[in-house]
Amino acid sequence: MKKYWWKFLSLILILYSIVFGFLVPLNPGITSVSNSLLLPGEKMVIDVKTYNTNFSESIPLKVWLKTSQNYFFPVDSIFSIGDRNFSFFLVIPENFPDSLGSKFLSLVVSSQEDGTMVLPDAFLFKSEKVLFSSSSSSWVELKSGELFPKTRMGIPFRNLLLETIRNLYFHVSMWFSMIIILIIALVYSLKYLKTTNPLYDHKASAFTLSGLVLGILGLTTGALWANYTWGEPWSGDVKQNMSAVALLIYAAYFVLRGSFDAPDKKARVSASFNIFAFFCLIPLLFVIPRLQSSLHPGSGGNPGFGGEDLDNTMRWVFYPAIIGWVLFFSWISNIIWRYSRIYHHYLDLEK
Amino acid sequence: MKTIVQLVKKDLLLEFRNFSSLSSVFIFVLGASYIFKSSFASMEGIVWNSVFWILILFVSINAITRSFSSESGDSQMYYYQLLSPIQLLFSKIIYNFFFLFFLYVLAFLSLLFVGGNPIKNTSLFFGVLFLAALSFSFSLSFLSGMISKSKSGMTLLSILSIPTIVPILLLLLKLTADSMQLIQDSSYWKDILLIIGINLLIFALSIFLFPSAWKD
Repeated sequence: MKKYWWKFLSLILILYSIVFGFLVPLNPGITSVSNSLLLPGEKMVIDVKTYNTNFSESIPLKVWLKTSQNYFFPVDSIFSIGDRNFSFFLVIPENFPDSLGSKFLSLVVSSQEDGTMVLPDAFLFKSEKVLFSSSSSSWVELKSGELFPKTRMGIPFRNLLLETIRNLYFHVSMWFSMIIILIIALVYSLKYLKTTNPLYDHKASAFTLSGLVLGILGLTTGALWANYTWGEPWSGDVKQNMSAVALLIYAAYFVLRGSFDAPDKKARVSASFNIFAFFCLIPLLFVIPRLQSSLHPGSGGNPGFGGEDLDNTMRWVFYPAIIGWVLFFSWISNIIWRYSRIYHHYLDLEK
Repeated sequence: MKTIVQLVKKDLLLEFRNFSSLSSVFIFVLGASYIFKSSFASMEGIVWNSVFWILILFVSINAITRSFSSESGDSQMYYYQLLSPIQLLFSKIIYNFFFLFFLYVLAFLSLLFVGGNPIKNTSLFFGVLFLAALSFSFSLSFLSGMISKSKSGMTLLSILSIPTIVPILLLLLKLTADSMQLIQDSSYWKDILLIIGINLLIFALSIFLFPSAWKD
């Protein structure tokens, strides 16, 4: 029983990643504003809709407009506060403090109950002339301690992504574990070429099969994610296409295995092809998509994976999920190679 | 080196002696061009480009299937005693390169004949053809050598090779679109470098892997 601790560990980790992945709430965030065009000097009412917040009249709430150079314009008259929405009355300032930066303004909302949330580039300040007067007191620089700190555990709120950010625990961790499983298969193929021990061939093919299954799962979860964030499940993105091609190469591995009769010849050729396939996979997934424009993060000028999108709360689920999937599919691969070894042994006895 | 030249000569001689592979590919190219001409009223730009690369894809696979499997088991045995696998692979790559380049020019001429000439930047276009012959002879020679001892030749080669060469084909397609000025891409040298990089990788892999796959 002691020998099999890692099998239980894999189940626990996968269960943990599913339970915590779905139960940890999203941080509060701003989903939309009713009007995003600001004309200097005008007066307007702006309705703000938020997500996962608990605003009420009795809880202190502060609102600012913020420029890219960190000048803040405080908004005073906030009214009709509901749980997930409020409105404010805005007298748009005549001047703009920031002559070089963009004219985009972010909305910053800070509440004692929910912490601070930002809607980046919420407004466009529409003005022909560059306005800057240092005497104007309406734009301020914020002192530390004026924003309320984060109050609850939560995962990052990103516009467009919203709740689908949880798919990171499945989609990304499945691709990561596919790479690890395929590296294990690669090592067994290399070992086979060195020793010609048929055991390594069984192991290599079993791990490749698991890797292929993980890849298909990664592609499926990715398509689900893309359906909600990019608008359609298959948008012909470079990385999508290239990963489909890589999976086809790995599928060809099994066709290749099927077309040999002599087991030693089959093992040798398929070990060579497995190594070839792995070294095709790396440029297909990590080199070509980075050089062309892709919707995936980390390519075509998009920011790389990690950084702000992967905060510490998410890391606590993401890394265990990778370990869990790797262990679980190693377990399945073990069952597959044992089965195929017994099967071949039985066939040999028959002859 | 001398052995390799001898082998290439032998392949050329065999090719011209029975003409079977050359004539079948020739007929394929002409027939396909005629079908394209009849089905598209006018072949310009995008259609010309995509039709050309579809033609190239199937011509390459068609031509290279024979490069190893045309030889009987006995002659393979003979080679095995006589040469190192690397020498054999090199000779096949060199021969296939010239053969493919010749076929691509043939395909180009026959499409020129039926569909007119959309190419604005001729040197880039022929550079891309050269690159295509190089990359496909690397990857396809290796794969066809690897599967030469399997039961099913032709089908298996297309199953293995299409996913392998499609990424390169897409990059090449982009480059020829550039040479026809269908797209404006000033940084096409980046794609060329990428293709050369992929070729070097495949070449290194085939030197490393072919001897063990060839062993009998």
